[in-house]
Amino acid sequence: MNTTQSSDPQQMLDLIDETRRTTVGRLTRRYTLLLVVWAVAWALGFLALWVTEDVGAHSLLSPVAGWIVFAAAMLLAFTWSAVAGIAAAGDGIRGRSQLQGALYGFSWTIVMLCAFLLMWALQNNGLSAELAALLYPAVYVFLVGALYLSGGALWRGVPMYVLGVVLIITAVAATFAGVPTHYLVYAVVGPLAMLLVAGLMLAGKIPASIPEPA
Amino acid sequence: MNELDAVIHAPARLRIMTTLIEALSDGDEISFPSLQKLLDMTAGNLTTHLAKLEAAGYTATTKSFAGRKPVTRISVTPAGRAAFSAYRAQLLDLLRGTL
Repeated sequence: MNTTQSSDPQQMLDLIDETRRTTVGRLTRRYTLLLVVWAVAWALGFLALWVTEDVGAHSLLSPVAGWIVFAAAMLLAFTWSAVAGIAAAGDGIRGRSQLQGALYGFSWTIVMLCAFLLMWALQNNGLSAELAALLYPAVYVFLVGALYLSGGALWRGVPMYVLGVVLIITAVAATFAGVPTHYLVYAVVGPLAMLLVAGLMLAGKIPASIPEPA
Repeated sequence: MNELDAVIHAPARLRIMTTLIEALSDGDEISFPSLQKLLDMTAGNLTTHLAKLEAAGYTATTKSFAGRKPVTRISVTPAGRAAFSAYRAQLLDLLRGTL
């Protein structure tokens, strides 16, 4: 073994790591941004409900104003998600993973839409307004958590998976907290977890996709 | 000791192989401009190195048309993935001093 070669391996291994980090960063940048958008939307939306008269714990906003802020925040984040999903289709990568990504994207739409219909059906069958206020966000947050679990599993993204676990626990804890404290729980815990994961993604935490040689 | 694979053991080509393996699952291909953007390399530079990788059988290129526009797509071959793993294993062995 000559000396140039013995000093080379570390540099080349570092280059592999650096390249992986850059690649993952460039491929996932729009999802990192999406997490930040959702964190802001949750914080704004749920805080607005928490300080809405007759809805939350305080009376800073009228019911109309409170629901408008909440709906606007959610609508903005949903639109951003849809645009990001469409943009991802133009990444220039084709093949098996394209179908995987498309199916995963459809799962979000199907789950979110049908959850709404499901709860609408419950209300038609006598679910009280108070329980609906508790159930709507709980079901959504729970399902978002479950979708993150499957996304994390599909792409070996541990931060994404952990976010899923945190969101599911948040939904359960917020529901135990009851109306109207649950709005505060969603406003604080969800965004914090999302920003933490976005931070991890920005810091270049890479998924373990290159198997260690035996 | 075994020599390190000269096709991969060059910074530009190691970056290309790493990026392809990281970005593409089995059965995926990436368009030339997208790969170029991921790597931040000039088109000429990328073409030259891809030719060497393809000659070694590590990558494959398909050319097609999207309307009238020619589209070049690149994929990693199983041989390319195997060579990359072997190369990386060799680097680790060199560091551990077992070679």
